[in-house]
Amino acid sequence: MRAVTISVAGNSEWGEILESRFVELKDGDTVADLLIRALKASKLAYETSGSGALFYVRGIDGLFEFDDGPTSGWHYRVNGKELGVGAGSYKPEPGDAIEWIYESEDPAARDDKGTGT
Amino acid sequence: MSEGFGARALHPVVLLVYYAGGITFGMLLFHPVILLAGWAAALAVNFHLDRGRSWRSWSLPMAGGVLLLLVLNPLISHRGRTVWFYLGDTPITLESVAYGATMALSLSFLLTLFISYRLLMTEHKFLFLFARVSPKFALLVMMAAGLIPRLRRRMYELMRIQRMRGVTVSEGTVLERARSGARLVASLLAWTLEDALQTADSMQARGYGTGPRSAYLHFRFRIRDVVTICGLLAASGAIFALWAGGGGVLEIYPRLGSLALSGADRAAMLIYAAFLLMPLIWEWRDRSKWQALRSAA
Repeated sequence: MRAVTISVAGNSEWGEILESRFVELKDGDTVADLLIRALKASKLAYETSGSGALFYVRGIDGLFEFDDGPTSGWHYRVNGKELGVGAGSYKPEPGDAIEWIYESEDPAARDDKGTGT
Repeated sequence: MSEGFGARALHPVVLLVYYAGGITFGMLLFHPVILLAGWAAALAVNFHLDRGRSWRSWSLPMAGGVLLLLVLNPLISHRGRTVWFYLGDTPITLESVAYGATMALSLSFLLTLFISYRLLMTEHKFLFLFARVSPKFALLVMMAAGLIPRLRRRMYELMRIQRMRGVTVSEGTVLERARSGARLVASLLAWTLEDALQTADSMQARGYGTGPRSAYLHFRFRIRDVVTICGLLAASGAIFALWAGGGGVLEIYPRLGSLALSGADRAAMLIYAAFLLMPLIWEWRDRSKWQALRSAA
């Protein structure tokens, strides 16, 4: 069986939402597909918007973007590295470790806010 | 019923405080049990004022809005941590269902309150309150508020008259119906424009706008108004203090709290219900007085 591991971690209040576990990797699965399949298997709530490259996670298990401040939100890492690609367009390899992490503060987004306007 | 009886006889300022407080706390106290109690109180006032006639005429659109909120909120919002089931890939959470239900309750309660507002706060009282602050604005609001019911009345009359001549939107081919409908709307517009011209002429003939406006103060602030406004303000202060201390609000997101009422919730509910039932006190008081006078005569 081809599989990847997936885990979901919230902020300090939520703690670990989904412990690291194996999820079957089907043909053409993206990180987004894997996340939704894992959450549904554990009866967790989520809210997303868009699809394909525009897929975006607003909230998981009642923990939503902006809950901890203007730059807080959900990010994902593959094998410990944050990729600059949308979760709906990245197709992981078998054996990859996918982590979804709620970041209370995103320095990049904060700097962007300061200079972007 | 007459303007000099019961809650209708209260001073406009007192009624304004009643409705301002009722609406404000109807939005602040976001707890289904409290809103249910408030809804029952507002309904009791409505039924006492006109046996629920105007409430019944609004009940269908109200039920529609309630149903819409009940269904739509769980479909749009997926906040909350307790998943009931998945609709395809859409999680339906207990919390968003509870939030939708509370919002629907809040809506139907506030609308019920507004229906009694329309019965108690007559045009006279409205003008008394706002004509001195801004006469133009008050006149504009009065005319705009009266416009839709007036148009409806006229349209109904036109339809009944024109049906005798065979002009109707309920029979014939689509084209005929459309033509009849256009003719009805055209007559309605002509009628309304002509009426506006006549109103303007009539106002000019009476000298409207030739000088500073004077006002005839029809309402006196009586002892009963003093008593009532003191009671309302005291109740508002108490409810606000309870709310500021965290009472009267159900915690819904991220996890639904217990529906059981805490001490502060219960106190807020009782004071709020008493606040909302204020008009009934004067209705009952005047009614019993009237009975006593009649039996004495």
